[in-house]
Amino acid sequence: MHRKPVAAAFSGLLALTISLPVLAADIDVFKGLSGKLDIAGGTAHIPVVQDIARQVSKSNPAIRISVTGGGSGVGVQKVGEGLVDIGSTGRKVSAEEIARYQLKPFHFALDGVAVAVHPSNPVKDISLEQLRDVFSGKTSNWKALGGADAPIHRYGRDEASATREVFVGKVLGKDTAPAAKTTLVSSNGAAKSAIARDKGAIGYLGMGMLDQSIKPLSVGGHAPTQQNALSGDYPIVRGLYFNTKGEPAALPAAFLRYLKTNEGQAIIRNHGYIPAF
Amino acid sequence: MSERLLATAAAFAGGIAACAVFAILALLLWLGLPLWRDPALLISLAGSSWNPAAGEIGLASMAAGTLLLAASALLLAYPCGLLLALSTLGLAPRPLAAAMRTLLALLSGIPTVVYAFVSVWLLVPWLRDSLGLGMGYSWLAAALTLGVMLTPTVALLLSGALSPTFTRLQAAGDALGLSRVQLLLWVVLPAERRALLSALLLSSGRAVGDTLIALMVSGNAIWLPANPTEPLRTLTAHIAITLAADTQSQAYAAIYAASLLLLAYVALVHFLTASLSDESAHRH
Repeated sequence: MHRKPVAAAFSGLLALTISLPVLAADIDVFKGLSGKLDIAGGTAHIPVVQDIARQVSKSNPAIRISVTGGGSGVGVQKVGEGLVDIGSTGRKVSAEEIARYQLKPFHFALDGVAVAVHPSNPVKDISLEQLRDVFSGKTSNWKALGGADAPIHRYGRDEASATREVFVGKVLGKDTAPAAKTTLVSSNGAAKSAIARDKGAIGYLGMGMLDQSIKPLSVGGHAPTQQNALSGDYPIVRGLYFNTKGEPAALPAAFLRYLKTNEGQAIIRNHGYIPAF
Repeated sequence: MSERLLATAAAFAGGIAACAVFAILALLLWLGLPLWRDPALLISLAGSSWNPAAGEIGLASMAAGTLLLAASALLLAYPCGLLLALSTLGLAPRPLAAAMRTLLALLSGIPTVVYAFVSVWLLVPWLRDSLGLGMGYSWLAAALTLGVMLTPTVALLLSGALSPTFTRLQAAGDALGLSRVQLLLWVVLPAERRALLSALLLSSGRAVGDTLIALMVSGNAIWLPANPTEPLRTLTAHIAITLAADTQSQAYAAIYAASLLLLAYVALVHFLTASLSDESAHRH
């Protein structure tokens, strides 16, 4: 994978913050376009799209970008049925899905799936094996992980979630069933706020969603940073995709092109993801 | 002339409603065809293990969850609602009763999502942090919220059903020297047993059918809770969650089975109530 120099990212950031028309040439991919661009699906994508929507509405008010969640499964469905222009997924769409809906995937970023606990939790590191035991229901007390003698409160996602699919696939594997007693949250954001409010919580979410309100665990000694995700040291990694039905029309195509520009990549990095170009 | 017109219109409306019920039933049966045709899937449906990745789509835990939650919420809401209904009719002083009626009407108009939202921010953290009852998201939290949501509806239903009889019998009660309380408890309530039952029926329909409170507060874990502080998942919440799955998957097909189960619950309750009220009609 090719990495842009830091200077390019910095100049992109600069262009964003100053947003002088002379400097903001990257946003010109939207020039002359108008109309509505609807995006739905993966919830990890939402902050990136919202940020781009803000930039676009400043430079070209004739374009309205809307974004909703629902999970990657919803993204595939909605774009496939022609209900939205772009369906976002936190996984590669399957060959079957591509065949059924003539989907055209656009891989734009790499994201690690982080495991997080309440900030007051003394546990710092968890091995893949321990993680499997926790999420399959074998371990249910923090004491077994070097924490307090308190029950573990598991938070998980529904079946439409690619975050769940990636996490379950990489941590539990095919043969281990996830623990039945797992409280369900419906987005990466909801996972964050649930973990932040529950002292006994453990849950998983896209690395891009991490902030001060929750405490990420290192897995097998590797901190959940995008560098470790990129190098492959951190074990739970996935791609973020935007999918169109067939070749994208003018506006969705401009959106995808913008992601590749310096500004677009700066936005992706700002939200904690690694641009995949 | 206009009377006949009205009667025709009423019959027509009734026909449409009946057709709608049968159309829904037929649609669910038709959409679920792949399920009914595959014996292995049918056996899986009746089980309690939900793991679509492994081809297991058991709905038993959700079916039990629906029953547990609806029954416990009604256990809370029905007595409270009855007490409130009696209060508005005569147990409470008149100005208070009038104020209560207004308040009940207001409360019954609040959307369920508001009850659920308030619960997520007040009740759930309180159960978890102050009382130390597990994760907070639980059968208990959902039952309390659903119970509170149902109470004004039960109260209004009952007070509407009891008030005509109460008004009609008031002069006779006065003549016999019965107080308002005596009249309500010993004459009106026994005379209106069927109304009591039909109120129970209507509110149990709401309890079984509620989706948002179960979805937002119950924790949605797919298992049978051993005690009220543990989470559960209802059929309605399960449908809402699974809607996001791939439309061609077995998990999605299980939605049709879940919907049919819900219809069956409602039909069963209707049947029970109808036969019970027939019995009481014969005895009179």
